[in-house]
Amino acid sequence: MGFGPMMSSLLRNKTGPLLVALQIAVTLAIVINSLFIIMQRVEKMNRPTGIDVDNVIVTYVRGFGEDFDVVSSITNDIDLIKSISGVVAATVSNHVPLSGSGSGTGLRAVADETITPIGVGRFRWSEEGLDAMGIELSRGRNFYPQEVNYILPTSENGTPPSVLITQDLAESLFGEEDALGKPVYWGDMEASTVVGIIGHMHGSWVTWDKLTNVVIQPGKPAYTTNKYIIRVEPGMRDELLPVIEQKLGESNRQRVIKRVSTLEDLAARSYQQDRGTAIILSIVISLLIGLTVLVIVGLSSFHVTQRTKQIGTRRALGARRIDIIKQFMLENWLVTTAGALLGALLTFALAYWLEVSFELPRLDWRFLPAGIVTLWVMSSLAAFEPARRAASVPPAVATRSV
Amino acid sequence: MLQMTQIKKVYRTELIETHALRELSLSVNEGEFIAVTGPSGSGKTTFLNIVGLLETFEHGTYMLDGKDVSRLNDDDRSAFRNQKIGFIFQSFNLIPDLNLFENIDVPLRYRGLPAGDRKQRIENALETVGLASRMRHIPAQLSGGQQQRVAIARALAGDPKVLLADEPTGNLDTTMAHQVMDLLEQIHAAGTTIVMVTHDPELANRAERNIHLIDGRVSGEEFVHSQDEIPQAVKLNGSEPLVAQL
Repeated sequence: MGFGPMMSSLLRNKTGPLLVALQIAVTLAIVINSLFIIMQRVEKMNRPTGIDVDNVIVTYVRGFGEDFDVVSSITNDIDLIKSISGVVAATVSNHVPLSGSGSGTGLRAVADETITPIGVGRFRWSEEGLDAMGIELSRGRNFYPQEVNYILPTSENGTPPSVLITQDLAESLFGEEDALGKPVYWGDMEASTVVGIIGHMHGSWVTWDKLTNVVIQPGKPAYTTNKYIIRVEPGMRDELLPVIEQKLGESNRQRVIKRVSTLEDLAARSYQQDRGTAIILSIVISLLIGLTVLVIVGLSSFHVTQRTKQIGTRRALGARRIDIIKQFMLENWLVTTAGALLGALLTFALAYWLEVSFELPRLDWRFLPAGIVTLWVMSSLAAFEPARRAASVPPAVATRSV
Repeated sequence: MLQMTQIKKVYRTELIETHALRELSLSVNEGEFIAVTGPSGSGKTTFLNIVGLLETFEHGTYMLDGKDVSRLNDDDRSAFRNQKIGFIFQSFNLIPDLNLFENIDVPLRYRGLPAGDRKQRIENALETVGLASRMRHIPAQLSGGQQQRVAIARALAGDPKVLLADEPTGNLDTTMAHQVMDLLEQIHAAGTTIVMVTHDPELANRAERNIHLIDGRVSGEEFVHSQDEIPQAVKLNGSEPLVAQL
């Protein structure tokens, strides 16, 4: 049957095809926007952190008792950890990158309180910190051991003479100028000198848009609860994790091991919401596509059953099996295309609403043609079996009285 | 035109075999109008299906328009049906969603004729059956007799070698039935070979020859009319309607 008669036929019986087209339109709009959100979440979860996440172990310890000597405890613990075969480096740190827990502050490139400071994530660790994280220093130098002191809760923090900053923070502060050797100003307008630039590093809060703005001060935080960051040889993480826990537990009875965890687990926990969203949306997409396929199969099958006599007549009048298949596939394609066109409008309307209401990024328009092609393929596959059944209707059906 | 020799057709299920046609032999000459009659279950419909290449058969040979159609594959049978045979069904078998023009266009499209040729054929065919003014109507807007005339127009538009009519008046009242028979007679008079299956002896008597089937065999043959007795012949390719109004 030609395109014109087929359109006439569809328009004369439009309720079924219209409902299917609407289903396809809604499916397209939801699937494309959901896929876009999933892709963003996946990209977010997989973006490079600048940290050797796979080989880092994090230990949380807490001292107790009046005579607990936190400095000697940390010193002994770090020495013990570094003595374990397979450990590359270890440091005590005020916070753990990617963990969702951290501290932030504001920095300026000039000592002017009227200028809005740039938000940064702040870390304090020893000269071994970079190595313990597997972070690469792109320019400048690391901290000297003599710059790194224990920072007690009671001690005067003071302004560190030198800091390391990330490249993104350097650009935020100084634009295209070289940040190396320049002073950066804290809230009290005291300055620290940038002695090293880290190419790329994520801070603590994975949802923060200033995630890659990081400043690192020299220091060994010595609080009641302390965090040790330990990097091990590749492939030894899971093996060494219980060893570290056991040795630390045995070495000092005046502090407890609160938790020993991989950085990978901590990061995964930070991305739990993103992962959950991606999973839920994937399920919704699968169900919706499955439902749409069922609707197409159902309507096509119904049409075959309803039109058995008509198919037989067409065969009697000279239609080959392939003509019948082509007819049903073309009908399905027309309905799908009508749904896709309507769905394109719905897709952009939904995308705009999400963009305005939830500050989601603008939908990448390339998702639309990809979605339409996928729908065409999916709908053709769904319609093929009913079309094949239609083609198997024998021409002799035309002469049957029922 | 049509020669069937020792045709056998058996329908099989797991439990039983039904011999629908038993070594049936029959010849139909070009331009002849024959009626095939018989009681229910005598094999009339099977005979029509095989003549119309709607079904295959187990044994025998079947020559149609000089070609042995016994061994044609499914696609070739479809093409041969489309080019050589016009069907008129008891229930008209018009496609309800298509208008008259589109209905008549269906077999012509399968033949792959160009649009201009198809249009000309459709208009001529509708003119022939007196329904040219209704070509944009859908079948539901017509009476039964008119629908059967559309079906006849659909069969004629393909310029078939043989017209197969399956109880063509079975769903019509007496008046309309006679008018449709008049139309068939006039088409026959214009030179078209017609094979009509009917259970109605009165209608069968309007054919030139009656073939009577019982139990899948030809049990009798009777010449009813000679060519000279056929009503006034009318050319089919002209614009003169064969029937003014049914």
